[in-house]
Amino acid sequence: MNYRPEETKGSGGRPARKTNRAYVARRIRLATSAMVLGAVIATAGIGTAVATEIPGTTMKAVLATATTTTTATGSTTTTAAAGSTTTGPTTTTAATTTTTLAPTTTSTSAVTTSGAS
Amino acid sequence: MAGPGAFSTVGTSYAARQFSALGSLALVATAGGEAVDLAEEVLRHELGAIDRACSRFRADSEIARTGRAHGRPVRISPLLAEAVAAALMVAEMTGGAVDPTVGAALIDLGYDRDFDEVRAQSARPVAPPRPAPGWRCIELDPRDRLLRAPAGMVLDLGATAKAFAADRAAARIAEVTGVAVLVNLGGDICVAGSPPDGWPVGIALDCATSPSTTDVVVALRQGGLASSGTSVRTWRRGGRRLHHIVDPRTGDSAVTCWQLVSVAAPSCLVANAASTAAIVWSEAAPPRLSAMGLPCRLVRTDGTVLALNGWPPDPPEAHRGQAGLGVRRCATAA
Repeated sequence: MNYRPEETKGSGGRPARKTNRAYVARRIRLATSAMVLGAVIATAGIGTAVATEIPGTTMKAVLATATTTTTATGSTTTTAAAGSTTTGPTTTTAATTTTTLAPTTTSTSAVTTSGAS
Repeated sequence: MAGPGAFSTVGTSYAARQFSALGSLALVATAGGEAVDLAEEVLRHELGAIDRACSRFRADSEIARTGRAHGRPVRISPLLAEAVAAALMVAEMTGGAVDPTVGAALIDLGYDRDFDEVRAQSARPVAPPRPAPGWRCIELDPRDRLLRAPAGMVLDLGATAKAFAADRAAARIAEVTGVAVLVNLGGDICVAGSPPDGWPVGIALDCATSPSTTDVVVALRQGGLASSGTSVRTWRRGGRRLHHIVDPRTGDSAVTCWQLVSVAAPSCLVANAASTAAIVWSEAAPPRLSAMGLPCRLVRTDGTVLALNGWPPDPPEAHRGQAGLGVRRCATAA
């Protein structure tokens, strides 16, 4: 595993190795965000410059939120703001996609259906 | 499987293929009808890989093998690592409302096999629900692709795998075919590229609904759209009506005031995370979805509709589209 063992004093003064679970959990969270949101944002076509290097690691972290505004025509603009949460300096980048969702004309027939399954 | 379907809306033509996969219906449509054969081939390949990696119902799946590791770390494939990472990201994004550690709770509720078999089971009593262990107890090292889950914990990627697969497949198909494509996996939709007017998508309580019962149509131009509800994947145990969306806090089917929640987002994975979490959040969902800024439509159990964050208002009933025609035409062309 990618653990960083900690040297601590065990019984009898001998050093004991234990797993740094907090470290592992942090690595998981950061890496998870990087892996998934990087892919997600690339898939959505809203840019790829969203990952931030974490000092001292090869990991990249991205945490994203999205905001949406409605235009006069009813189309929407979704903005994903990406920043990082790391133990080191943080940076923020932003990427934008436009017109994610809009009303159709009243005569439109759907290609397919979204609903519970 | 359904054969090729060809249809058009507002001057734009499409071709689509539909077949059963991942316990639901899979549909792929291409704008202009181009490359639909190749699109179907790529989709089948992608879904086969997802099923072999992530299915809780296959003893030979990779995730089933990891469940037999009894708490030891297991090296997993890049695909499963990505799928688990997606599930953990969704858990974090939703504050734990959508949690991949609900597998044991689902089994206790009787959802321990393919859904068609679940529905046919007897009225065996339900075991007392127990809270899910929680996603933070899963350890994933994505660099070395090592996964460790506590002994006895059952990972369930059912809440995220279809959306994850829709995103992957749409991107892959667009890359291979070079045409605009829509992928729908049981109501979880992702598009890559779009016709000029967007992809017209119907919203219905049941993603496999007949066209006459679909109520609104929206145009999806980018990203994903997902719907979650409690009215389709239901079964009865011990005199109770149960459904598949589990509240991790209780380990029981979520008690909710919504019968359907639909969300559009930059990806299907994020859309599905929000729509599923909204079911669990119940009355707390509107402010949380508003804060996320994703266009969404919520239908209460009494039928009243709430649209947030720029989701287009429902048109008057007499002017609503005939959603689902594409699916129906595909089916009849078989």
